[in-house]
Amino acid sequence: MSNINSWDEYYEEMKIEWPFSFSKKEMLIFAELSGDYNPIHLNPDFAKLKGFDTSVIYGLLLSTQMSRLIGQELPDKNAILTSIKVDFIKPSYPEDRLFFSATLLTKSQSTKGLEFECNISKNYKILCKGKLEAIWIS
Amino acid sequence: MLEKLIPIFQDVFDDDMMIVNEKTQADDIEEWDSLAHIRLVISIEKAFDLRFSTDEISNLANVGDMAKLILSKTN
Repeated sequence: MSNINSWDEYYEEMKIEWPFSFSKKEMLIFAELSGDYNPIHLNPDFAKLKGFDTSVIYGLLLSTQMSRLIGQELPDKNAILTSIKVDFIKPSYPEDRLFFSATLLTKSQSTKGLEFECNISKNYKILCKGKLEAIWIS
Repeated sequence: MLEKLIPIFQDVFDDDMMIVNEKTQADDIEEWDSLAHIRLVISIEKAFDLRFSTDEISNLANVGDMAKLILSKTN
């Protein structure tokens, strides 16, 4: 439910974090949803031929955690994602124990704009980092 | 002030050749929509290390008004 006072629950440097992982089954679901059946994501032998440990998790599947941040993990349900910029630095694999971390960099009182910096890591090594923008609607 | 604002506009609108003057307003720039406006305001707040209120922003008619507002808050 909309609550104007919940804007006050946002503050710069606010940190939001959670652990997560993706299974092979979820990789298949993403393949069906996206139409991307590239074997580097679905065939471990093919991925190994390309120098990876096994099937590589889709970059945009990792990015779904950014959608989760804005839509699910903020103090309220009033924010809408307006921009994502992501760098995929290192590969990740099904069943890897991954960790999502986001920090609110900017809370604009005048525009109700929000800017987040986020990263996805494994064993404290950053695999993916991004910047998100959202607007807060009362 | 304009010489400080122009690089901000160029960055927000991703156009190194963009030039604005005091009379430039949102209607003059096709890409200047509500989301671009939010990015612009946030970029200006960061660049000048200041914060605007909603009322201050809603009363601006053009870039000249923005420049005057910045000057009033930085002097």
